[in-house]
Amino acid sequence: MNILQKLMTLFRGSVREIGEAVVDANGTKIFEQEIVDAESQLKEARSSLTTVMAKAKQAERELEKLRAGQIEHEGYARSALSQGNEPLALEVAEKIAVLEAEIAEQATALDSYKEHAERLKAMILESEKQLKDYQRQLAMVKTTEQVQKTTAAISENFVAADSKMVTAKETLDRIKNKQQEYDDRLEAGKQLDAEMSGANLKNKLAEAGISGQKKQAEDILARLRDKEAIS
Amino acid sequence: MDIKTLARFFEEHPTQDGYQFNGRLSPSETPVLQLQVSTLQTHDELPVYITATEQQILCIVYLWQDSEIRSETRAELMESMLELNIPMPLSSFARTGEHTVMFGALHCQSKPQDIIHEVVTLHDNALEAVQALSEYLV
Repeated sequence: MNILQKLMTLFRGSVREIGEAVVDANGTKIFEQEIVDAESQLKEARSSLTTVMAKAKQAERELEKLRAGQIEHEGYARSALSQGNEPLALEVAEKIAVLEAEIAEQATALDSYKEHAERLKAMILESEKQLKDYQRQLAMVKTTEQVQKTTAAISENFVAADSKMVTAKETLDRIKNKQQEYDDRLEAGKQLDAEMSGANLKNKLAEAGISGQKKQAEDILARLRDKEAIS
Repeated sequence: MDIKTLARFFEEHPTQDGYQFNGRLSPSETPVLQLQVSTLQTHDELPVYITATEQQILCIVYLWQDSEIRSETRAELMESMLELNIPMPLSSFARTGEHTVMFGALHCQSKPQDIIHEVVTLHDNALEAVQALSEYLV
């Protein structure tokens, strides 16, 4: 079972009460121990790899030296032969034989170092992947625990003991009230604006002589004059 | 950034980007920061709870409980939440125990400015979600 499956089983099961840890402390500890083990394995593998690679380098250098010696002695042997010095040539050939045996030995050693290094590299890659996997799983377990603890802490610290957490309906009501209050304020502001601009208009009309007491008085006078004229 | 440092930050900077924050830190073993977020139009309807693990900072808003879901529309509600998850910036729906929550996660090294952005986005998303999904609730 992967970690998500485990968590799912736990969620579906009886462990539903707030504050009850989904994964017990033991589970987390096992995880943490596995991570520590993987880390130390990785460290060991890396140090082995360093050693093996150093040995391979050394073997390679040794091999080069031996091959150079082989070529050099083959030259000597040819020279001895061309001088007709058969015994010297034979002596050199014996030396070449020793060198060739050493070359074969070093080449085998080099191959085995290289092979070992490849194996270690693969193992390190695998361990790194495993370690990342464990860390990801541990993070999931810890986060699950954290969220449960958080919910518990909220119930204990922020929500009155006798009431449950705020319900969505209460939230909605409050949003509605607040929105209404905001709309009312906006409406009041608009009305005030309208009233102010209405007052302004009256003033302007009065000033222009279109409305107001001055205009009324003039109209009355004009009416009286007309009556006078008729009678 | 640990939760206590974050609590101090909000205490020292209660107003940011037109939002007002009112923080309270729980004295519990797992410290939880309750942030009430207010604007001109809204007033701390949905507190944001912030908690930290080794890897991440979790910001959670509790939306409703199972008992508030109209049982005959439960499946529809779940589908709607899944559909809304991607379009909703930064926040996701989730469940913990009997609570439906909305949450956002940040890297534990996040700067206060990132956390503020996360918190106000989460808060606004949550307010909208409760209104949008209210038809599925009693």
